[in-house]
Amino acid sequence: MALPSLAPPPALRRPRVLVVGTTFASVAVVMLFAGMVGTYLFARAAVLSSGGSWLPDGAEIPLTQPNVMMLGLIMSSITMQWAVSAVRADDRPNTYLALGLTLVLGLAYLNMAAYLYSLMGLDIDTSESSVLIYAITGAHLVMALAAMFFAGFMAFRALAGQYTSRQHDGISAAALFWHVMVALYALIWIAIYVTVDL
Amino acid sequence: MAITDTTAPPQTASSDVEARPEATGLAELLGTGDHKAIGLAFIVVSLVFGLVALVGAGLSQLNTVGTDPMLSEAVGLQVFTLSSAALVLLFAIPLFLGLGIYLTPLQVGAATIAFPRAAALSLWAWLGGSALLAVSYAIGGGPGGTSVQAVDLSYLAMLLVISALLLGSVCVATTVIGLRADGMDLSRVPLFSWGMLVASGAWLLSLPVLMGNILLIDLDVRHGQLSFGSLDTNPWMQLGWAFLLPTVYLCAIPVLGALGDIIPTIADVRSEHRGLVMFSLGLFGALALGAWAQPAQGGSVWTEPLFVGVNVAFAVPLLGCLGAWLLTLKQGATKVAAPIAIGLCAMVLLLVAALAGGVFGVGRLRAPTVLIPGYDVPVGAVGQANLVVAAAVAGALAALFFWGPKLTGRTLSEGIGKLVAPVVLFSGLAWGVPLIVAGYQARFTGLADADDAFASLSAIGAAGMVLAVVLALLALLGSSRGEHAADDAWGSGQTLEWATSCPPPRANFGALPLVTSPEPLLDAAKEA
Repeated sequence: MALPSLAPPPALRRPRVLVVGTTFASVAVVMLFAGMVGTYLFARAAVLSSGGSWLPDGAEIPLTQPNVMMLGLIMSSITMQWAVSAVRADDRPNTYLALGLTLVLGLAYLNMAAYLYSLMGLDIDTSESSVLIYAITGAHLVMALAAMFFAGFMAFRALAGQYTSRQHDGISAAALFWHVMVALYALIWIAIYVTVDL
Repeated sequence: MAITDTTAPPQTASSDVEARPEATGLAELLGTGDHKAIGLAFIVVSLVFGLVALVGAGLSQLNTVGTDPMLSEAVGLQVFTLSSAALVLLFAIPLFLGLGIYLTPLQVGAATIAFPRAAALSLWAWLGGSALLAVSYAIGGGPGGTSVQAVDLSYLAMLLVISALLLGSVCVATTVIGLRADGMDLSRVPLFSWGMLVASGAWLLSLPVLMGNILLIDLDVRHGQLSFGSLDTNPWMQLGWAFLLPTVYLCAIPVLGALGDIIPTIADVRSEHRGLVMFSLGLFGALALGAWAQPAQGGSVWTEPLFVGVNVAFAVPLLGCLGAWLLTLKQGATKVAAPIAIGLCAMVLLLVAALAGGVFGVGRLRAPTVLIPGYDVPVGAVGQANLVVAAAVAGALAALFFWGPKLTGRTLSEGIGKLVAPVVLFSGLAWGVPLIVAGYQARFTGLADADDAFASLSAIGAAGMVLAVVLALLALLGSSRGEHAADDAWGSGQTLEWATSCPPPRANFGALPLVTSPEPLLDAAKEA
């Protein structure tokens, strides 16, 4: 006897509060960095307009590592969105793979940032620019760690079978925060690394 | 239960698991995720902190009287900066945040606040940060402090306090956006909840900029003091913008929302021109986004026409709201209840602040700015900020007297409420207006002779504000002797919070009336 085909379940009515809350939190983080980068640009413009040098003697910020970090983070945004697409399609293996790759790329970003710090030769106690640069880039490292924790936490929940095509707010919220983190690095990349002496 | 969970777990009894005894008293408060307990704790503690902050504000004015200050230069600056920051971060904003945490879930028909554990974390982090801030100032921290470690601690404490307020704001804003009852679209949200949504959004856009400044200054203090000067340098203008115009208006945004619910309910009539009030609230919030007006970055921002124009523009949304409310009052029953009286006093204070912002600003374009000796802050700007904080306090007290039955389960003393109205009005005016007038002494030389009188009058005004807060606390604490309040304590409730008991049960509601308009209870009464 043929089983009667079941109608698809009705769309889940859900308030998506986690995504909404993450959006609000992301806005606050964006404003935190906007304020700090604004202060940085004002301070740098004041020094450069008076004919001074922004970086202290002997310090140099190479561009190769920041470029690699930027590329790595763009790739991580793609893998993060891959995770969202996979969970929307109930494709669990790809969800786990994409979240794992995202976390690996996040770790690579942290590793490259540490390497960049060792190359710069910038002592935090010696100049106005070094305090500002370390404050802003350090705050972004903290944000990246928070985004990795958020994504990792949601990955564990996904492993426990919590998220499906009908309820994937946790992964979506983690992805939103991750994309904001990457966008903020783009701002830092331009304001601090690319235009370091402009 | 994780912090990212959006609802508290249901209270289920299991036959095979021995039920734990329910916590009571302090244990219940420490472990609670109930938005009502969290909101009430925010309200009571912020009122107590407000008393201390107001005493500090009065003391910092008295310290400028005469040629021989009571306090040393460093301690005087510490008292001034701590009271300025505390008035906003420990008093006005958390007072409204507490009201928002308590009331917005009730107003939008939700069983709980969004992220209840995060709301609890917000309360405890705010309390811990406040305690650390007080300790750090006591051991020589804060702007004007003498010890690097203590100054460092004070900045970290400020970061903790602001982070906590932002976390609470996320909970409130998410509740209004994500947990509304069926049928309640954004245009039907009660005006206090709308005001809290606008305020939370504005806080989330502005306070992180202040956090960024604090973080940079803190790192600079610890590492060379090359960017913002040594400990002897007063860094307050790098931070003080957040407690002066236009940013200080951030703490007054919910005042308009509260009045938007109070006036139609007590007048027993639907709100006139509700859309205009909602738009005005949004405009007021947008104008209060003042992170662009940082004197330390913009240099001459205080004398720029844009700065003056924005300060004058606050009158536009205020007049829009006032016009709509006068029309509402004209349509409804004329009752001079305490919440309306106190709320209208708040509107008067806000209008005077907006008017003073314009007049003082235009004057500033044509004369040098007069700074308070020792504090290096424009005296007129402090006067304006005092007016706005006084208006915020008056608005919060109006809300407390209006929603007091919902908070305590008892009716609050109407007599005390009616006494609070003139006290808060005249104290607020005395606290702010003399300093605004003193700001003109560069143009009118005779005013300089009256400097001490102006500062003394301002200190008396601060003392009057203390009295107003004490009266409100007495009314709250004395409510245990009041009559039990009915569900709809005013008999003319329009919004969902009046559909449940006073105080509400754990999950807030049984069955909710259908929401087809901004006044669902009036619709239900009409159908009945």
